[in-house]
Amino acid sequence: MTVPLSDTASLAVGDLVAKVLQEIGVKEMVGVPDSQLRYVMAALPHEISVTHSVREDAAVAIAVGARLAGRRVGVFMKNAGIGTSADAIVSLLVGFRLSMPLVIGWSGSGSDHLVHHRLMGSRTIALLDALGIESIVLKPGAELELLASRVKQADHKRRSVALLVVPQ
Amino acid sequence: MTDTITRRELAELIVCWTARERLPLVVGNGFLCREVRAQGDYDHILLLDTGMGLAAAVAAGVAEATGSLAVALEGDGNHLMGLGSAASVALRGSDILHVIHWNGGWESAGAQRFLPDRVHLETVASLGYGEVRTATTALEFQAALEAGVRTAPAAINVIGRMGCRSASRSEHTMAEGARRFECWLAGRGR
Repeated sequence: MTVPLSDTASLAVGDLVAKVLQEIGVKEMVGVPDSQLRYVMAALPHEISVTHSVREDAAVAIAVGARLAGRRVGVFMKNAGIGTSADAIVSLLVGFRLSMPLVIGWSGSGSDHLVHHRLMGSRTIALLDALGIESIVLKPGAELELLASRVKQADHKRRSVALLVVPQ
Repeated sequence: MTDTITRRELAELIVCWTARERLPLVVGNGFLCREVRAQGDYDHILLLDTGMGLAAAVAAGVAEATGSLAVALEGDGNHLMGLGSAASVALRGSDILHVIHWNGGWESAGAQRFLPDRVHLETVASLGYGEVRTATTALEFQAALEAGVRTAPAAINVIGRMGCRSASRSEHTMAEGARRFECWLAGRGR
């Protein structure tokens, strides 16, 4: 059982994610569905399509192919998918020096105290850091301009950013 | 046995065909990557020296963004490791031609073989690819390429063998290769 975001908090975070993705020109989000992210993905405007892959590494690879062909695609996943996609992130994103927004449901943080979620939750930031991905923790009410500026800066440096959605 | 397609013949044919048809080609790592690189310097080819099992998924992203066919080439070791890529391609109905070279093992990693009769060629068909062809000789492979793709995603299972001479490794920058591929795609007028 997972801990769902409350409606109010999730809408706020969902709006935040949508605006940041629009700011950097994302046209599509590809990923593996996650219960923590379902409201966030539902909050995306029609201009950003949501598509699926069966594994997180395939999602990263699809987004990389699209990016090389000029279409801006981001990736979404549950934090457990960081392990599954580690090689794709290092080999393709870092290897090709591409920037990409990763929207990640941070299970095992915030109000999510499930023991099996905490195992990955407590390691999430360290894992991302080891992979060369900057982590930005999204909270309801976060200042959009500041957030967008950090994402744009990373984009300019061809570095990928993880937007972490905390269960409320 | 003597007319079984070699890795070099496979590389020559697919490089020539994609160059002529102006199709992007994404190549999975291992000996195939080295062999394709040995064919020359081509901007329409993206070589994945790392990222095992991801060639088909990268090609899917290219195909979907450009709205036209992209080609993926990988060995059976890459393919089996990356079944999630093939499953995603099938799920999304991506417009790719997926060429899989079956030599029965992990040759570039020391020629360890799969157990005989434990690996079957039906993987992509069972995942839902629109059409799957099989080629054992260079002539059959050429014919399979020329037949094009009617129902995407499509695959060609190329039945090869171990023991073919391999091209040597070469040094290059992955990011530079990606930039050239990116520029070629942009210049093709997607």
